[in-house]
Amino acid sequence: MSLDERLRSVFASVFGLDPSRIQADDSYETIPEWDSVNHINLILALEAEFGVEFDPGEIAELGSVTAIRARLGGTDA
Amino acid sequence: MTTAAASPLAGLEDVRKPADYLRVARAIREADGAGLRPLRMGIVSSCTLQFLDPYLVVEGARAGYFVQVQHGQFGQPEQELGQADSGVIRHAPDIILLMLRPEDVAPEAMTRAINAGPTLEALVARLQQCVGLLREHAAVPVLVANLAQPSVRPLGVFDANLAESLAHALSRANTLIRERLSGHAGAFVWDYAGLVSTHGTANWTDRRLWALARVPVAAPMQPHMASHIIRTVTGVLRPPAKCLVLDLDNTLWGGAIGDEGLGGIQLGDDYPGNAYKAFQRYVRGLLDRGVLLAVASKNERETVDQVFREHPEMLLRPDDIAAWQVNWQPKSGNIRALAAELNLGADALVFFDDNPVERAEVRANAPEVLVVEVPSDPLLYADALFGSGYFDQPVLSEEDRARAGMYRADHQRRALEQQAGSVEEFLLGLDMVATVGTVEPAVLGRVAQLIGKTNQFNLTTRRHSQADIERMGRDSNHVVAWLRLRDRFGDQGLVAVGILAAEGETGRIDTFLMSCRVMSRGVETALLAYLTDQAKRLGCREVVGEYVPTRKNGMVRGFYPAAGFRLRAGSEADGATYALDLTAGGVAWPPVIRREDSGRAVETGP
Repeated sequence: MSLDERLRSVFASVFGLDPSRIQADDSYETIPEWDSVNHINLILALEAEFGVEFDPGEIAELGSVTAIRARLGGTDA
Repeated sequence: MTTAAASPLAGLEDVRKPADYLRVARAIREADGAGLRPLRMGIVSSCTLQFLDPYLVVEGARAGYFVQVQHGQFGQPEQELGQADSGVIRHAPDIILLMLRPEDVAPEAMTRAINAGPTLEALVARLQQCVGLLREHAAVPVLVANLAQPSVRPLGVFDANLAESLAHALSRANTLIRERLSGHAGAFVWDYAGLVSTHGTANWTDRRLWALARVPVAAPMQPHMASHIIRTVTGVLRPPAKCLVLDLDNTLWGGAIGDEGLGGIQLGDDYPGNAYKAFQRYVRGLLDRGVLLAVASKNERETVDQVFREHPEMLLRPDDIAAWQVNWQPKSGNIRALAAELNLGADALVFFDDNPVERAEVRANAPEVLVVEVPSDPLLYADALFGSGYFDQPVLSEEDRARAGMYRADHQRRALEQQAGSVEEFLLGLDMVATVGTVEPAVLGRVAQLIGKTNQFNLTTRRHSQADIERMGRDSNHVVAWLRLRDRFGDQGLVAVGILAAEGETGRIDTFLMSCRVMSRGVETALLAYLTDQAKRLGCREVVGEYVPTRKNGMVRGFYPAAGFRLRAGSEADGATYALDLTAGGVAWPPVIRREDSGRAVETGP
């Protein structure tokens, strides 16, 4: 799976959406299910899926697909 | 990607990552439980536990439950538990979880080097008060979390070295929690401290999660926390299993006894024999707390007996096994036969066999039997049995505690029997004392239990309810008689019950039954003698006994004729009534048993 497919799968699981619904320009402002509780769920799910650990300071900054892709080093769109 | 799976439960085994938990939990909820048994939980906590819900739903589904959680208002345990219209109570929970962490409600105590005790004792008092408030209006079972040790300790590595340290204060508080809860029916400790120590205090928390979202548990620990809660809830809500059915070859020892012989099997103090010995030691621990052991093995009985008797490294001996099925028949049928012999439902039996083919056969043909998924490595057998949770039970009854002792006493009785020159000599050597009496509140529960479960030595198998028994006990034309037996090796407890209905000059024996563990000691004659005395006291001139045949009570078909009764009607095959003329004497009390009358300690006999 490409980075984007894995990202879509995690987003879909966390927010209960169809993977095709997740777009590159989505953020907490465009996905109503992306509330504060689900933000933590998303962070934990991403950490487990990609084997990373985010600094507490950056967690609040990861509020969009773009920011998360950039943090995960994703340019292989 | 397709999202419409056949059942949300199909992929349960593969759920590991947080995203999977979230997705599957949502699917189970959307399928309205997907046919699982509903389990409504109320959670009242001093910290954020909402994050745990998807984990509870998935771990609950693995245990057969559809978990529906209602969380209490943050920081208001007294209101949530004490008010009948609170959110938690209106949720109509099957069970409530109460968790007040000292880190949340008394954080200063958790960094105090010495004398945290009073603060923690106040916390315990608050927990008890919460349970008390709940009990004023609801009987729902409640689990109360005990207190975990922190990973950072004020006295450094010497926390355990000082009597007043935080470590000791926490463990004293946990002892206090247990003591305080024991006074409340349906209140149990949820061993949060044990859970945290199993996984390690250093791994348990994620400081980022705590700082950002007040979530007290690191992500990798959340499935463990949920499964521990579900296991505890299960242990409280369902009756525990009673009997462990063991395979032998490659389960209790390595290799096949039929092929390798007594000297060839692996069992001892070196690998791999020590793995099997360690498992036997764990099984002995279960035996000592009252779990019955049985054997289901495809072998020759003689070969197996020899191992149990003669192998020097066996920790389990013939007397430790309550029932045997050693033959070449399918194990499903053998396990059903064991259940019948032990007077247990098959769902009270746990099957442990290294062979996946045998496990599959039992699962397919005796689906009510609990089957442990046994790993291939014998070093992990005890972990698998422990992990199954089948023998978890929050309290051990008097009977459970006594059972192991009873088996030891049985062993001593059998030794005496072998030494004795005759049956008479053996019975006299037992120094038996039977206490007889009529039903009273203190014994009503046990009398009802025997009436409800005795199958073999039971002349009529009438399952009277406890309320009926109580009513008959109060009625002047009925006698509900019971007998307790003790001997020089121990107390056997209340083991026999008879019910007499006086109808004019005829005393009809409605019920006559005895526990099989006191067979062939004269106990049945003693109870019959007592019952005929009671009939005379009520003015009866004869007693009439019935034999109602069932699939299981063939052993008592000749009981009344052997006691001197005459056939009045019917036949052994179809059921019969028998009569005894009391004007010509009754039934003599057996001389090998000393008689005591309940409450009066009148002694007759030799």
